[in-house]
Parts: sequence; C-alpha cells; structure tokens
Amino acid sequence: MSILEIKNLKKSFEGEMVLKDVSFSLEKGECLAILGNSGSGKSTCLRCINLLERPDEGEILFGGQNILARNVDENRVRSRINMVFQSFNLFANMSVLANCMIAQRKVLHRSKEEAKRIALENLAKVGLAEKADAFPSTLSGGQKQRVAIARSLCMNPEILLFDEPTSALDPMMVMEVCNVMMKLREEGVTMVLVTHQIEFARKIASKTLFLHEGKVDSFGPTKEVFQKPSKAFASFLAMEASLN
Amino acid sequence: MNLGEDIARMLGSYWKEFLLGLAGTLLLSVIGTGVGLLFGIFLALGKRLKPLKNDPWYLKAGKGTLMGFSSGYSAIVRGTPMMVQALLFKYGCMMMGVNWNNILPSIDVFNGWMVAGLIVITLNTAAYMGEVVLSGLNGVDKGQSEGARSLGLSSSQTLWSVVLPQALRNAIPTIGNEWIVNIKDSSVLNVIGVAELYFAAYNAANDSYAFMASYLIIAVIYLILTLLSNLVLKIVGVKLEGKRLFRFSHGRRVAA
Repeated sequence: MSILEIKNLKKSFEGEMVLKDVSFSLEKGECLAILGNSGSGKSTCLRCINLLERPDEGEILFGGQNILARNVDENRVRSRINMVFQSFNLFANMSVLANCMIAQRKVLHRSKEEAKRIALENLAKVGLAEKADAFPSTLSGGQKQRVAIARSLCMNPEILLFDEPTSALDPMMVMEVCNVMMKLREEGVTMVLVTHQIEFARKIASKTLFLHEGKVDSFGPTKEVFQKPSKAFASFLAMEASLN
Repeated sequence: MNLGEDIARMLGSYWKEFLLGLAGTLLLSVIGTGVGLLFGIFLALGKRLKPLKNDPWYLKAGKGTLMGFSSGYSAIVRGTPMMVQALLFKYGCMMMGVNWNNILPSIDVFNGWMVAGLIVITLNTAAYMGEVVLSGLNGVDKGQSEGARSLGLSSSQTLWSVVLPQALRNAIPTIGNEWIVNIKDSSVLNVIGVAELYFAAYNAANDSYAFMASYLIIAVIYLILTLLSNLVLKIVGVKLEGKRLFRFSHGRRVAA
C-alpha cells in the first residue's frame, strides 16, 4: 500500500482552478520531486497534503486513510506529515532549541528532557548543535533552513514536504541545504520536494511529477520522466536551462 | 506671599495628601493598564474571529456575536470621553442602588469610589488595548502561524505560544504609551470622588487658597512620573530588543 495516494485533487482560488484533477502516489522511503512553472499548482498541491489548504474535491489517502474526511484530526495528520517552507517560518520569539522543542512538547507530549535530547540530536544531524541557544534572526538563510529541517525531523514525520526549500538562498547556502536533504534521502526519509533546482531534483528524487497548468503532465520514475520528456516538460527543461 | 513660599508651605502642610494622591494615581494607572491589557487581548481576539464557510451554524452565530460585541464595545468606549464614562458609571450605580462607599470600607483618603475608578479606567483602557493588540497580531508574519500549524500545533497553541508573544512584544512601545496616558488621564476620575493626584491638589488648593502652588506641584509630580515611566519602558525595550531604543510620545492617544 502506498504511504500517500492523491486522487483527483481539485482546488480553486476565487474561481480560478489551480489544481485540475491531480492524481499520484508515493511509496514509503521514496522521494518525489514536483516540478512545474510558476503558477502550475506545485505549492498548492503540497499545502493541500499538509492540510494548510482544503481541496475542493478529491481524496488524499495517507496510509490508506482519507485525511480529508470530516472526523480526521488535522493537527495529528500535520504532526505526521511535516512541511519545510521556502521562507523557513522559524518562530522568531524562540531560540533554535525552543523552536525544535515546542511541537514535541505540545503535540507529542514528550518530557522536557526527552524533547531537548531529540532536538540536540537533530540539530547535530544538520550540523547546527552549537547554535542551539541562538535566535533565528542571528542565523544565515542556509542555517535557518537547516534548523527548519531539524525542527521537522524532531517530530519523526512519516512524510517530509519541502516547498522550494532553496529558493530564498544563495548558491553556497543551497549546497548546505541540499547536502542535508541528500543525507535524509540516504536514511530513507519519505520526501516530497517542490523545487526549481532541476539537477538536484534529478539527483535526489526517485519519482518525478511534472505539473503543467494545474494538471499532471508527466509522472513516473525520475529516469524515465527525464529520458522521454513530454513536449511541455521538454520546453520547461529548456527554459530552466536557459535561465541557469 | 510669593509662589516659592506658597510651594514650600503647601509641601510642608499637605505632603501626606500629595503622597496619597500619587499612590492613587499609580494604582489607577498600573492596574488600569495591566488589567486593561488582559481584557484588550480578548477584545482583539474577538475582533479577529471570522465565521468560516464550513462552520456549523452555532459556531458561526457565536463567532458573529463575539465579533459584534468586540467591535461595538471598542467603538462606544473609544467614542466617548472617560470623564463622561466615569459619571455614567457612578450615576448608573447609584440609580441601581449601588453606593461603593457603603460597600467597601474607606482606607485613609481612599474611599469605595476608588474601586469604581479602577473599573472605569480598566474598561476604558481595554478598548484602546484591544486596538493595540489587534494591530500587533496583524503585524505578525502569516508564516509564523503556518509554521506552527504545519507541525501539528492547534490554533490555540499557535496563538498563545507563537503569535501572541510576538504581537505583544511588537506592541510594547504602544502599551507603554497607554500607561503614560493613563498616568495623566486618571486625573479625570476626580469627578466621581476618586482620590488621586489631581484630587489631592484640588482639595489642598481649596483648603489653602494657594491654587497656583498646588497645581504647579502636581504638574511637576506628573512630569517626573512620566519621565521615569519613559525611562523604565526604555530599559524594558532595550532588554527585549537589544540596542534598539524606543521613543514614547506624551501626546494623547489617537483614536483609530
């Protein structure tokens, strides 16, 4: 059984259809890259999976259960499907350590000692244990994003969603974040990644989904999608290549 | 008799009254601002309630009522002078047979109307604090609450642990201004017999006929109080925000 199965997802904003019948699935331990032009619905799709947006129609099956059903505890779902944002969204009023502990304490009800231990372990994993007492405003963009990843890892999520995690970073910082993500991939963390870093997506993703004007244009193993690109995907790749 | 001699005479004869008046003013401004802030937080939250499309009818009705109450309360209280509110409160109480002097024992110059004064200044401040907190809440980046919700925190956990602390911190300069305004504006509560600084000066002046000296003394005390308050707020601001310094105006609050 797939860990995540999206069926016929539709979402509109003020009458404009952003997602038009999107379906795909993901197995445990896989990494899916969602590619597409700006406005193609990539981020909306991710936000629907994290329940930050409510789709108009369709189903999102997480471990076989439709998380859009009325009786589902949304907060519990979000604690198991975490999201890392482009703009980091670290809590400005808390230290790095507190950022990593708050959800553990309030959602998973872990003891202070356990939460601290897990937070420090994950901060060490992203190479930032020494920044535990720092405040987000004193960190570089790359460090902020690594803290955001550590914060999510502390929740032991079953799926980790990345919404353009490197778009707000300069090339050096992109490297920092990509290295951490590659490490997670090797550890078998299930990930869904929305990105414009085509080469990185190609390297890290086992599956690739190309969204074109709110519809699934191509979906399959990354190798196949890139080797036999559809017309729209080929023109997208050409455009991205010319921009880089 | 010249002004200097008058001042010296007043301070010698009425120092206790002035000190008690100062205590009354401090009590009114500190409690009015502190408790008013707490009420203001709930008013601001009430104003932010938005009935959602998928809410059941009773939730929609509840949210609508709270939103209406918060907005109406804010409009009425901010739209009328505190002196008029104090008089309405006093005569409203008396019409209902409530005389605060009979309910509470007097302690020195502080009679039962001090409690009425505290209620009036608190309810008045709450309306302004509601606006201050609301603008603080609106100033917190939406990403902060999205970040919290994406980790599984509930709406109330997100509000109390992530959004509100940031909103209050952003609002500290304005909250400080409200305190300074309350130090000065509590003087209007003398109309209902609340013993505060102006009340002390008024009585001392009528007793001694040294009007200029009495009011000059309290003008200096008010000025020292507001300058000291500014200093305290500046220290708090620096502690919270590193080296950033805040400036506090002495002007009246601006109705939003």
